[in-house]
Amino acid sequence: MTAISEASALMTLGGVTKQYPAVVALHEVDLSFTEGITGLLGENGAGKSTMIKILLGLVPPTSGSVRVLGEDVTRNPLVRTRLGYMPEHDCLPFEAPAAEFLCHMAEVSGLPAARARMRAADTLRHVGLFEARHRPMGTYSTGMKQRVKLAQALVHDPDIVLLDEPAAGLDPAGRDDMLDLVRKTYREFGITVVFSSHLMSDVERTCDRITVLEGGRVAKSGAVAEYTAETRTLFVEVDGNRERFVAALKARGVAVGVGKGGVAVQASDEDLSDLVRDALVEAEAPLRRMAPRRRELAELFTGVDEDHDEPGETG
Amino acid sequence: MADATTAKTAGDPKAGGVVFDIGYQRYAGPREGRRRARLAVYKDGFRKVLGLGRGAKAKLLPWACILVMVGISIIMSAMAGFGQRALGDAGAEMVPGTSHYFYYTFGLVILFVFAALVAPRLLCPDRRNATLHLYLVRPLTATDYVQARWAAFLTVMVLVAWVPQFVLLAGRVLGHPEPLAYLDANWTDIPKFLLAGVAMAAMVTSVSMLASGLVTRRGYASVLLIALFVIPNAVTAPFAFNPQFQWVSVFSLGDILGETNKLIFNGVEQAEEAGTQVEQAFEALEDFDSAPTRFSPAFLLAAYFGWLLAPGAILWMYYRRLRL
Repeated sequence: MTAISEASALMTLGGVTKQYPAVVALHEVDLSFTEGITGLLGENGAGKSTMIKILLGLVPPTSGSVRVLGEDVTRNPLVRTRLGYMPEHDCLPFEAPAAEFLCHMAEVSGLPAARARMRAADTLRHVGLFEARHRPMGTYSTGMKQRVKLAQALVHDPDIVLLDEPAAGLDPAGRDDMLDLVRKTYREFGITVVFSSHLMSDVERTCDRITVLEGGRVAKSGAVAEYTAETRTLFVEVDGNRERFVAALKARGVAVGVGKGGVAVQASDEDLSDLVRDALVEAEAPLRRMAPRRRELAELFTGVDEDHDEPGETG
Repeated sequence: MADATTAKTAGDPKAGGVVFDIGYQRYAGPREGRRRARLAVYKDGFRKVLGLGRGAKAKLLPWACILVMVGISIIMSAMAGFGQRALGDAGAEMVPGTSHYFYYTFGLVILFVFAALVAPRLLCPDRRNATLHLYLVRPLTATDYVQARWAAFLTVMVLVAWVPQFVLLAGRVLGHPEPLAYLDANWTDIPKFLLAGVAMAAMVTSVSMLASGLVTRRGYASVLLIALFVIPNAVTAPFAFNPQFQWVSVFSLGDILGETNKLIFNGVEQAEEAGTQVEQAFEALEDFDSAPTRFSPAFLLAAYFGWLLAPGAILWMYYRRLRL
């Protein structure tokens, strides 16, 4: 886990345990959240939603301390004027138009009525629902409802927004749109995002940092870039003479894995690129693409470490 | 980041204009915290009960009840005016059932129906749709939420109780040949019907909100409320004129409110415990408007505040312990 100083942390959990009658949802969790987009990744029941509810002050921890923006959220509900929350489940009153609902939610967050109306219209524009804002929400598609849920979390301009499975139930296009909005929320709006998901690809595409929860414990936490760092393996695609190229590599003592798309090359030698260049020249193989192979976030769960990056079929 | 695009104005198609997309703007205005949050929930509750800002379907039930109540008070003032003109002052008093006190004796029934139909709109949908989550992640506690909804419904109930009484008052004043003389002689009715209206509204609000808070479906809450208003009344009715078992009436909302009404309008004089059920019933009919209460004021007030405070306290504790 990467150490984060208390000063830069927006939210901190210190030794938090949450015990329900039949299950321990969180066990001695120490964790800090900083500015940016943090993904909370874990299977169903890993404790993601419980952690979000504890951060919001909806559920008190059984033990441990929770600080949000420097305050104890369970004792000071005013902290929640700076927090936004998008639940996983349906939560919208179907008979109300989105504009009216958002205006109401902005007022409930403490904004004066006139400002609330302006913020509601602006926020609906930013999530792409401006044209449909006067329609009852019961007539919206699933994707539109997800956007309203995001909009109500943003309408009062929080410093931090907690999104519980924001892309759940969406088709691939809707999922892409929602993840774009999540990225935009931090990159353009400047609002820190904590984003829970059980889908690796969503987190990998969207987040700067990742925390992996397993059985109520923090299994891993750090920058996404750390987990998707380059390996010592080169992935090479050639347009012809592939067999000769592979033979030339093997002649140089390089481990080679041959797949459908190309050739994975690994060596401990610092000059691996030079070896590949020489083999390409010797085999007269036209180079199409050469890039270092990156680890995939999925390997966090499968337990694959760098040693397993070696090509499967070696010479 | 500003992004400018050229656009034509609607008024002059040839004229060019520049529309600026100024992007997302951070909010730098005031944040008024819990006070604003409570006010917003209160305002929303008030509008929901009366169906304001919603379609005709949402307005139908509450406004039908209000129109019936106002219509009754108009009929009552017309009857009093007719008696006055046909028979003089003495005649007006002889026309039965035109007093402010009398209005509440059956206005209460419509008030019960109104509460059963519309009170569930305040709490049931927020729990059923899980919108309550969205309230409680804002600077609002469960107590704030319940108090604001309770206050919103009380406001509507008080208005619904008072408006027909003011219509009746206006009718009786305007129907009298000497309106000022009528007001001078009957002005004490005004604080009485105001106080009785608040008393009725508060108790019905408390019970209605509890029933609405315990279930998530509006229909179930309405049925529960109607049962709560009707069944205890029917069960305790046989004991109403039996001095030994009159305490049973404490379980009847209708009886408690009816007796509280009497206490407010007719003072602390208590009924004689002698007499048979039939005799007392005849006496009550003969002198309806000045009927004494069946209970001692202390007993009645204890029963009234029990019905008022207990449901409110249960509702408050229930929401405080509610885990989302």
